[in-house]
Order: sequence, then C-alpha cells, then structure tokens
Amino acid sequence: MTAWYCLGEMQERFEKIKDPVKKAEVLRFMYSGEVSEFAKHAPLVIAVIGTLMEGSVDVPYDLSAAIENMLLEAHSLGLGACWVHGPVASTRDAKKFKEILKIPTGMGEYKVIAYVAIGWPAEERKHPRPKKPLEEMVYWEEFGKKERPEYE
Amino acid sequence: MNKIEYCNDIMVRLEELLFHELSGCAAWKVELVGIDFIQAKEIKGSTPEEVIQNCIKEITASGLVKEMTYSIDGRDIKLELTMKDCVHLPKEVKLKQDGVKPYICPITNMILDQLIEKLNFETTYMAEVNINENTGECRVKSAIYKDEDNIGLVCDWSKE
Repeated sequence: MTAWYCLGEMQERFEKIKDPVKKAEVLRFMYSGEVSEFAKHAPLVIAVIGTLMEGSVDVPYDLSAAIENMLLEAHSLGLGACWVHGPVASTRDAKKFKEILKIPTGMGEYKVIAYVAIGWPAEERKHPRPKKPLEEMVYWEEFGKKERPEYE
Repeated sequence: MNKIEYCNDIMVRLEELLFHELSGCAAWKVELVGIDFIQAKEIKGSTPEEVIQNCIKEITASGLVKEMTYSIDGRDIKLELTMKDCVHLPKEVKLKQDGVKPYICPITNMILDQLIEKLNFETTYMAEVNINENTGECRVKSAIYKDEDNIGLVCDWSKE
C-alpha cells in the first residue's frame, strides 16, 4: 500500500526533461494554477473542513484519513477523484477559500485542508506509477536493519 | 535579559515543531509572521519600488536590520532582498545548526505583505533563504506576482 507523494516524485520527473521548450511549458503549467484547473470541470467538489473548537485533536490527520476514504469509495464506484491541496495550502489562499464559502475565517475556528474533485475519469492510467522496492522501505526490528530475522 | 535572544529562542522551537509536523509545507503557512510591525507603520507608495523602499526605511530605522538592499529582476517576478545584521539572524543560524533549513523570514514577510496590501499584488511567496553566519548577511529570494497574467511566468533565477 502506498500513498502518492506528490512533490518529490514530480521534481524527479521534471529534472529528467531535457528539452528547454518543454521544460518551460511544464514550469508554466505548474505555476500558473492550471495544474488544479481540472477541478473547475468536475461535477462535484467537496471542501474538506474540520472544526478546531470542539475538543478537536489531530484535525489534519482526521481530515486526511477522511479524504483517503472518499478517494477509495469513489474509485470503488468507478469514479475518478483527486485530492487538491495546492490552492488552499498557503494561509492567505486558505482564507480566501473560506471567504468564498462563508466559512468562519478565525484561526481557531475551522481548518480547510483540501478539496476533493470527483467525476468520471477521462482516461485509464497508462503506466503503473513508480514505486520503490519494498526492501528499501521496510526495516525489521530497528531502523536501518534490512535483514528479516528468522524466528523459531 | 536579552529580549531578542529570548524571542529568537522561542521562534526556533516553534519553527522546528512546525517543520516537524508539516515538512516542506510549513513554509506555506507562515506568510503572516511578522506583518503586524509593518502594518502599523502605514507604508505609502504607488509602485513596488516605492513601497519596498518605504518598508526598508521603517525596518532599518527601527533597528530590526542594520543594512538592507533589494532588486527586482527576472521579468519582474523575482524580488531579492539582502540584509545585514538582522535581529533574527541568530534564529536562522540555530535552525541551520539543528538541521532545519530556515523558512520564516519576518522581514521578507513584511515587504511581501505590503505589496499585496498596498498594491494589490495577486500573490507572492518566499522561495529561498540563504544565510551567511560569518558575514552576518542574508539573501532572500521571493516570487512576486502583480496580477493573474504574471502567474505562470517563469525565469531562471540563476541568470535573470
């Protein structure tokens, strides 16, 4: 089981692009806001917010788990869904987003963590996404120990 | 008691905690840190140059930074600030020693805030903080986007 880690992988892929024209196009796309524009065309966009007022603990983690459940459910129904974080990542942008939806903007009131765009997938994924070999990520009994111990 | 030292030590702890919680995303959450000082100064100006120069006057007059210069290059989207002997330099040095790349510059935040507040810039972000503990100098690169048409412009910051 893996969760998609966006920036690290993107950076690695970007660095492999050698054509300067293509590189400039990709950069413009990444920084123009177009990267999140697909959400404008989605039939359903869910703003994921959590209260910070009612004895809440670990709100970002709770919301993240809820989003993952939404993605899995959408996928199981044959839909496509995408966790969109960028447009609400900065403090100013998150405030603007709250104002649009009339969500109270106090820093101690509600946290907006992301939105989820849901629709019908435009295409099948062509390639399996790259994964590190399990041996690189799994340690046994202590950090860094790659050999699996033998148990009796 | 040295109040600046006390304040910087508190900031170091908070920055380390926030970085530990959010990793690289921590830098996106802290753009308002420091802006109260400059917002109280009623900065005036009708161009980026005027606004930045007036901010620098207030910042240096207050003693927050001893010497400060700026340049706008790279298709007008790159703002580079150079600061010498900033009161927060010890904070950045401590963070660097602890293995956390400095990511909150209250002084830069002040200037970016005024570009947004006074000139309605669409968005800004601080991209890179380089400190030199030996010379007491900081160089901070930021992206500044005047309007929607600017967003998506890119430049090679090492050349432009």
